[in-house]
Amino acid sequence: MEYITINGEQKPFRFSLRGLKRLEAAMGADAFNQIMNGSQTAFGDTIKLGESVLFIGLSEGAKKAKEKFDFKLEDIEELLDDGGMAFLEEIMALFEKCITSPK
Amino acid sequence: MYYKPKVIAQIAEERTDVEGDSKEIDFWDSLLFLLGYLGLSADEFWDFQYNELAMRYHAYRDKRDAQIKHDYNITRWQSWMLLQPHIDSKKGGMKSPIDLVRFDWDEEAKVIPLKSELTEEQKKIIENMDNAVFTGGDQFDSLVDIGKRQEKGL
Repeated sequence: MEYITINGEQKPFRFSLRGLKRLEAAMGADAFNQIMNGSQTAFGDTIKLGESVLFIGLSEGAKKAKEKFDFKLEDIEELLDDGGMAFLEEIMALFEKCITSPK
Repeated sequence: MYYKPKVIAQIAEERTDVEGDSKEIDFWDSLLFLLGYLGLSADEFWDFQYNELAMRYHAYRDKRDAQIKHDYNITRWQSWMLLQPHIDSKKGGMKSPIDLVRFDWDEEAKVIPLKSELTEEQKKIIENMDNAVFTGGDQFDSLVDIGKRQEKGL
């Protein structure tokens, strides 16, 4: 299980295959395939991806850690606004770690 | 940017071997194939993180390959033992099971001993390596080639 700091608190973050399926539904099949094949995505897609990844990752993490998930999509937007590009990069690094093949 | 689908490519390769078809395989189609390979239930499958599933797949492949090698080696050894009464080893017959049949992994395991004395050609290459910035494996490959030729007595 990975952890991410949100408002000074460590929150569990996980990206199971169920999460990837949810991400595909959120992003659309074409954008999803682009992401999974390592192709460059449009800037708008990257922001949308960051939002979806954080939302799904936190909800999956809370479910696995048997914690209450009390975020709404609007909260995620605010978190991204507050954190800026550095936070977005942190989220994407975490996402990459979860889905990168070790070999 | 994010990920290179190595596992997907490996599954595609395995399925091509089995089905004799080089069709492009969809991301989910490939991963769902692992349900059967790894004997997972649907719930287990969806709970896996991609990197965890990839690790399990690699472990499965390593174990399977080791089992195949073991089975082949045992069969070769048994065949060699059965042939022993009929082989005259003094006349240069099969002295080990490897002489009966050679598998790919026998070559991998073979260690080429290093020659303690270098030839003039090898010394020249090493001097050039010391004087220049090492740019890749070309010089090393040349050294290995010379070594191999020496082994064969050419």
